[in-house]
Amino acid sequence: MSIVQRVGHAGAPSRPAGPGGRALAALFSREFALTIPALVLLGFAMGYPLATIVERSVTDFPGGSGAFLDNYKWFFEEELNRVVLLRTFRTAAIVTLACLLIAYPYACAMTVVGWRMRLVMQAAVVAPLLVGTMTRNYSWVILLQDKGPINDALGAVGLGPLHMIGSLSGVIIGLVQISLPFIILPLYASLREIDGRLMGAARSLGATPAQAFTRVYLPLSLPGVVAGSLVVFVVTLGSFITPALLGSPQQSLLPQLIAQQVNQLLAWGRGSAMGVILLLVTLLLIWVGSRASRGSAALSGGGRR
Amino acid sequence: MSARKGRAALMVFCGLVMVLLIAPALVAVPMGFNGRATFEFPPQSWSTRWYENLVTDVTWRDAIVNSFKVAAIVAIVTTVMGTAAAYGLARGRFPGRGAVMALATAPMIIPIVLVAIALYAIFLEQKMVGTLEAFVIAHSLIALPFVIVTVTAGLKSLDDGLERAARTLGASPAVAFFTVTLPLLKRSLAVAAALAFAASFDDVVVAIFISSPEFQTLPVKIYSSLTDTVDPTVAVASTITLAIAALGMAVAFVVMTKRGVEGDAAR
Amino acid sequence: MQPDDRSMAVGARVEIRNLTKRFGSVVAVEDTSLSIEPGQFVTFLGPSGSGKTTTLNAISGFTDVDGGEILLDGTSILSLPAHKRNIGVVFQHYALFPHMTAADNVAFPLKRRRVPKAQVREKVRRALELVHLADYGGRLPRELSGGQQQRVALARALVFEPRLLLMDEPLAALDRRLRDAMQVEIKRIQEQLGITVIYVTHDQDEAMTMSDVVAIFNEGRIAQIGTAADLYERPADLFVARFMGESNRLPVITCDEGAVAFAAGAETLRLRARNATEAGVRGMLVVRPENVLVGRERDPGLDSSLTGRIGRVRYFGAYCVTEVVLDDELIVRSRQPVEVALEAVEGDRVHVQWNSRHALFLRSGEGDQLSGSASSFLDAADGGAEAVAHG
Repeated sequence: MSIVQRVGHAGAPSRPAGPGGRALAALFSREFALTIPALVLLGFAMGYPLATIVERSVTDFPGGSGAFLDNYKWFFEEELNRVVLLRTFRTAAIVTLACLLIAYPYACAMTVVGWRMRLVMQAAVVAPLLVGTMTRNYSWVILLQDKGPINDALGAVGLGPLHMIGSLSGVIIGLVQISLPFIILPLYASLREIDGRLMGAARSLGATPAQAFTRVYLPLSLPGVVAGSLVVFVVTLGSFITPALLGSPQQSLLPQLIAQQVNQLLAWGRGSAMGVILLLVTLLLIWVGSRASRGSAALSGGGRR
Repeated sequence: MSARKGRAALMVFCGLVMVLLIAPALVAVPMGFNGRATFEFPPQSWSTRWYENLVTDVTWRDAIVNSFKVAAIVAIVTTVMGTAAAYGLARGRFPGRGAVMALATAPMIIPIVLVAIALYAIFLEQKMVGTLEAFVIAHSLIALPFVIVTVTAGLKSLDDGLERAARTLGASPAVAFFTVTLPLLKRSLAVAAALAFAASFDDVVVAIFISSPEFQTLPVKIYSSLTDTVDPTVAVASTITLAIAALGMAVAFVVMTKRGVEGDAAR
Repeated sequence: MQPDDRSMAVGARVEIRNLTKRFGSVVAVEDTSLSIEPGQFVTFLGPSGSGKTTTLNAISGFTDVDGGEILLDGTSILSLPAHKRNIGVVFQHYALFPHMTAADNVAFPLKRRRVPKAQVREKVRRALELVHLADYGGRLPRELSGGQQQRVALARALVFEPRLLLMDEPLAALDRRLRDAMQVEIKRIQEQLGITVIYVTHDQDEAMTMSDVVAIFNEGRIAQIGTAADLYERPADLFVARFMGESNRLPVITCDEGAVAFAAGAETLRLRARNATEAGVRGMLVVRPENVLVGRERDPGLDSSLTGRIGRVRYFGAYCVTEVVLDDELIVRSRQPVEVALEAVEGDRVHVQWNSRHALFLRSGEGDQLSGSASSFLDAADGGAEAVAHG
């Protein structure tokens, strides 16, 4: 029965990389090759254009000549730019906070209702995305105008009229409504993962409902809060259409200023420098946000164990 | 406050949020039947001439045709390209995979204005402003991350042991992909293509920059008529996208409800 | 399948020569050689990370090797891609294609080989018959039970008449009762077809009941290879002794040929042991629990004896396990049929005794080079059912 024996160790020279190794190396390159079309597109439509913008920001000057970082210097020295930059951040912060306050209870509710109701609530979130950017912006142009339905309604109860369109408040109202889906979806995805029994466990250990919420539920939901807020903040920072349609040129935001430099003043260098600044701020925020949510993700992981 | 009252208050709040989410979009419907070219709401007189205008006015018609053309091409191109890339990234072990993945999703996080002026700069240089090619390239860039993210998620949920099994049964890597992986990825691919189509169809910012009076897409046409005129044809165009969206939602709702019922029965 | 299939599907001879595979700096398989005769059922047994699955993957073509050779009937297969090796593989989680019916799953390898349609239908029918699922061809995998899915996977791996079948822990996902039934089933089919089978498992019972030959893997090497009886009765080293079945192990030093010294409390006892040759070698005296008898009196028929007091007694129905705590807190276990086992109360002083025929000396060192991870795995795996040195 025991016909099997160990074959001696001598013989068969060892090969550092056998034919199997070569086959696998070929496989590697084949899989890499699959990404090449996408990389070409990214290179031509993203890498090259962005490089051009960066280059113009340090080589293209309104007077025809200038020093290396003149466009950036100009940006931070011109008071209007600083005002706009600040306004852009403030607007993004207000919009994010408002979205969060509306989205959190809504996303919480989505985790506790039955599946039919959840489907309806989900549909309500997804529907505006399907309707399209322009349709939603158009609606707000109609709704917010001085003699529009919102002011009519306010007038009927003896308020107003409020000047909303052509003002920052109009922009904020529009942006909040338009951004809501972007925060509800990631927030819901994160809240859904929280083990509901943890709240019960906290209660059984003597926590009041408020304590159970603030000490257990809230910390566990932080990754979703950070992710959703980040999306809204970043999207708002770069938003162009809503401020252009609902805002006024006197209260413009950074993206409008960029477009103005490029389209109307043909100041490519300055516009590019502003674009680069916007990009750097966005990347910084994403980096901070991802670090923060990683930290709280580790926390929630520990909580689950 | 009792738990029941709290719950009721929460549901009332959620109801209001749902109204906030959906109601504004419906404004377009009555506006489309406005008798006069004003922003008055509700309209004082009624007419269907803006519907006729949408079909007969060449600029509107062209804009719609262009939008569909660009979105369809983009959907096909990015679904093929993005699926290949997602597959290579999911199955490959080559160095720099993480970098490629980050690069592929980057268009999602770069502020759209910057993308717009950057592409505008290039297309000006190449004399491509206002061309179908420019739109396809620009929108493919915007749509690609959606495809890659969707297909990557689909691939993750697939047991990669299936492809191995196919290999041991005599299928070459390519045959294994087409006979096993692709059929199982059908749903993800459909979603990816739909998202790519929508991303292209919905883009305004980049389109505003790279369009020309001769070549516009529907959102650009809506934008320009909103800023220049009070043409209620905008409302008609919005109503039609609304109707398409509603139809899509209804179909998805029926499908999901059915699956939900089946899921309940299975439990 | 019919007798004529049998002649076609007769098993392959497999030779593995000096196989080496590293993952970075970790050596997964080190200079391993092995030869398998046609029609043998060989089991690779070992803890996870011991190299058994890597070896299997090298044979199936999913792992490139860093050195060595794999021959199928004398021909190297290393240069062939996985899909050209013509080796049947059954996976742990079956890997049935969820979008195809059972019959389509089984037909898949035939279609890849461009077998004519009529033949496909006939071969699929016979393969499903072989695994007793003739009426289930139209079902999708999710409509089948775990055991049925396993059978479809088996039929699919056999339908193209490979001469070698690899099975990677194929029963791990099934419950115990089903596993026993499937063991019998797999063995029947293997004998009926005469196919060579390499079966990977970490379940020693599975290895013992099914295999012609068992190869025990430890840290990338084959620690021992032989029949189940060889490995159980004559383990080559402490790793094998610990991995195959339960064993009592007493730390000893050899005094001369056939005898070892054991420190029992204050006094040193001389015990007889097989395999002890030269004097002064440290090691373990290994005695299986079923060879240990517990008695109040010394049994004159058994030449080795220690004293201790009764510890825990556990009842298993067919047998019971009696623990005897020696003076220095070492525990010796005895497993005996209930009617033979001593009825004793905890704390009673007793003799633990065995025939020195059953006592095997194994040196510490080469064979017992259990790194931290391997030894802790083992302690966890067999529940410390051997002599455990406390403190």
